Amino acid sequence: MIETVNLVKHFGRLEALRGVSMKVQEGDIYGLIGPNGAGKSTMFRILSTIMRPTSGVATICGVPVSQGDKVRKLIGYMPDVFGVYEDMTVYEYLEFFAAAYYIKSKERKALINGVLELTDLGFKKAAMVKSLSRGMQQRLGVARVLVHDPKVLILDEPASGLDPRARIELRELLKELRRLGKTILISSHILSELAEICNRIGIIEKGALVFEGTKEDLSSRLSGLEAICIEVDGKREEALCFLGAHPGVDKALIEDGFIRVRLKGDFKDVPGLLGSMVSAGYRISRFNPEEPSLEAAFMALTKGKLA
Amino acid sequence: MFLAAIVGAVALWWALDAPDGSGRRMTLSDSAEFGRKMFVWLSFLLMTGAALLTPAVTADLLTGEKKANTLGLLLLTRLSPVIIVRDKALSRIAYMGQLVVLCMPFLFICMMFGGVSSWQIVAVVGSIFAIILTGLAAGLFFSTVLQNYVSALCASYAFMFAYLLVLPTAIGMALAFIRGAEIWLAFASPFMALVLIVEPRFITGPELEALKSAWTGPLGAGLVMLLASVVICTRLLPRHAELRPAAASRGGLTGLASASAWKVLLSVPVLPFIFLAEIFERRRGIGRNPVLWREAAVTKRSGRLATVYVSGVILYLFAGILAICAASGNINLDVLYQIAVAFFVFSEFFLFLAASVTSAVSLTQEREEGTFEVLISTALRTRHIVLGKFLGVLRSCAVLAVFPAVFAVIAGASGRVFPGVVALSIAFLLLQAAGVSAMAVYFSAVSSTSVKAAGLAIVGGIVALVAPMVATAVLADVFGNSRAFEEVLFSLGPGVLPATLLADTPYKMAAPGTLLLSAFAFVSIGLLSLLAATHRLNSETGREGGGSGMSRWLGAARSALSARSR
Repeated sequence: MIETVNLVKHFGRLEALRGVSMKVQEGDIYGLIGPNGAGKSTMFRILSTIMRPTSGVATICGVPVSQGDKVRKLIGYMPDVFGVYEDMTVYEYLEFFAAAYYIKSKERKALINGVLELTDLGFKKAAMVKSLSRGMQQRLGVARVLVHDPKVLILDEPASGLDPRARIELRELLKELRRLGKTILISSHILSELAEICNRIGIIEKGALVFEGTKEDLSSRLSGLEAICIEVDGKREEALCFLGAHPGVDKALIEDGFIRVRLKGDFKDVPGLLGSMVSAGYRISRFNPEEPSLEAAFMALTKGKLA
Repeated sequence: MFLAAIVGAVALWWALDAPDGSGRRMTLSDSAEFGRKMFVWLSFLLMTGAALLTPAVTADLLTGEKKANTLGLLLLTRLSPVIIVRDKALSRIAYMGQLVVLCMPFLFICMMFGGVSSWQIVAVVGSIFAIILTGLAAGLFFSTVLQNYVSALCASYAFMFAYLLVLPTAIGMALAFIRGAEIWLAFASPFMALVLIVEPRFITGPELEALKSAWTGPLGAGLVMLLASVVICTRLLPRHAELRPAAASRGGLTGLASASAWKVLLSVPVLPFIFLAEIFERRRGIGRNPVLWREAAVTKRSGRLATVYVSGVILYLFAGILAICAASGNINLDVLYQIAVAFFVFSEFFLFLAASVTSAVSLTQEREEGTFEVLISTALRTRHIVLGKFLGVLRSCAVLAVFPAVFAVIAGASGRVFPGVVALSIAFLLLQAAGVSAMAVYFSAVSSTSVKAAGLAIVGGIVALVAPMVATAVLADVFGNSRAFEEVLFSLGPGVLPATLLADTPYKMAAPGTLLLSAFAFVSIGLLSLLAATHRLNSETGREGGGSGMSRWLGAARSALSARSR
């Protein structure tokens, strides 16, 4: 559905993309993860026909992005900035974009009502865009990209700046869109944000794709980075010595009143470890598994690959 | 460049032959005449520069803070509103003062040629500072009470134009029967002061002595206006710290319903026009070009109140001056004709200003607000975007064309011009507004910020409209008249053609050839600008280059013009 081969983009001497090859299958929710400045937005702009690559090939549904007129009908692009006309009503805003996709005026009303219902914004139809909350404006952005019923959605950091409730709503909306058969390419700089909804993940760092695969592939690549935080009642120093000597523990140290333990294996070893602590007479009041941070993932995934 | 210009001016002094073209070196009297003429043009150039630049650099003082949502934060600090407003004003005074000081060597070079006295230099600099202070006062006030840069800029320019040109001219005409009245008018108007200071040859005795200190009047008035503006803005600042809530920006009759009493009073003369515009707008839907609809309907909606207030000011001023004339018993068809022509120029200026500034920010605002990327990722073709912006702005400014047309008809009704000339001047007015607007759309396509685009559009508009005429006048003045040369240059940029058709001036040329050439010049400027803007957007966004072909583009124009409501 979306394919790039050796995609390169230079801005003067800066190499924003360094030969990115990526493949998104039909029906995928593909999460592109990377820190700020990694090249995610550049990649999305190229795929959205807004920017030309320096070299390489990018296609959407088999159509090269150089054929902008054809590609733009196939995609719905939401940039990292909201890009909403605040001085229009919600309905006017969506009608504007329906007209921008040359949808006939007779068909617009039903289409707009449909996307408003899907995004749960029907009750705000006559409200000015400016009066919507950030979460609602984000949903309006999603409604906009759906108005011409594209096959592919390209969403650049759609959850950025949203509160937890709005994030959950957005996540549910994206799952619903997947059920409707849309292929979604989505970006974020927060690994856990996408882990739940994406079936495939790509990690981009300094313009290069350092990882591409399923969530399971990523988990296996990151094994060894798992850690747990344990809080014990009293005898903290002794517990630290006990854990340091445990065969399943790679490293243990005290941080903010917790004992932070990095495991040699994965989370399957945790029950055994906690059991042995209890057997040794330590009283565990709390414990919390800790996912590998994006920074840690990058360190592991880019080791020896990047200059 | 600055030093090179000074050196060039001095070299010109040495190199020039006598102005009679005989090949002999300039004598002292030739030199004095040359210096005097240079001084006259330089003074008017500096005045125009100060009048245009000061509002441009001041109108964003507080609108910029409002747009970035930083004004509220600024008021939360320990800085008081007085300090914020005062220091912002001082920074711009320093900037403009620096520019005036940089230009002073040129005035001294005029003195070196002879024919210019030291008191004239002091008086000209004083008058220019008066204009700067007035511009600052207007820019600061409108920047505080209005929401965006464009509205504040247009309102400041309208104020400057009325204060500097229309009001003194109209009052001068009304007081024409009082001998020596213009000397005392110079104490109130920087423009009148400047006119008399640079050409004092026909003024003698006590009137000349009075004239030498005339610049102190406008300077004092400018200072008072600035102080009043600072005080008023200090009071108003906390109220205008944030952008108005969405409901209040709806404009039109809905917006007026929630406006204060003085605003309603100001808009009374133009209520019929708003009413008609709203009925017309309701009958139209988005149609086939959404960009056109947005520019015409939504921009008009938010900018309509500003238009209403300025139009109200124009009509009240017109009525007020007619009342002064009537009260002084100085009213007849000649006076009515002259006042109508003066107001025709004023409303023509405002139409051009609104059309060019609105066009200039049409694409840059999309860039600044992050909607440009969204717009160009849609299926809309760039030629439709450019054309939509251009036609939409023209449609939104259409109501402003009503006022110059009304004044042209009043001038025609006085019996001083033929009805055909009135129709011709209105037709040229519309043609020029379209040309200027198209040029501004191009500047919008090539600029990254609204301030830059508006500046380019204003300078470009003035160059296209006025510069050939000024250049012709200067060349004719210095090197002697050549009718054919004058006609050709004038036709290439006849910015004041609509007004000069109406008014009885030496530049009145109704030769069909000249008019055709002029129309051709503006149609060419317009078409080339729109094609260049389309090409620029295509190359910027990596779209296919073939999209800007003339035949495709004209097809888009036909399609947009035939688009009607759903």
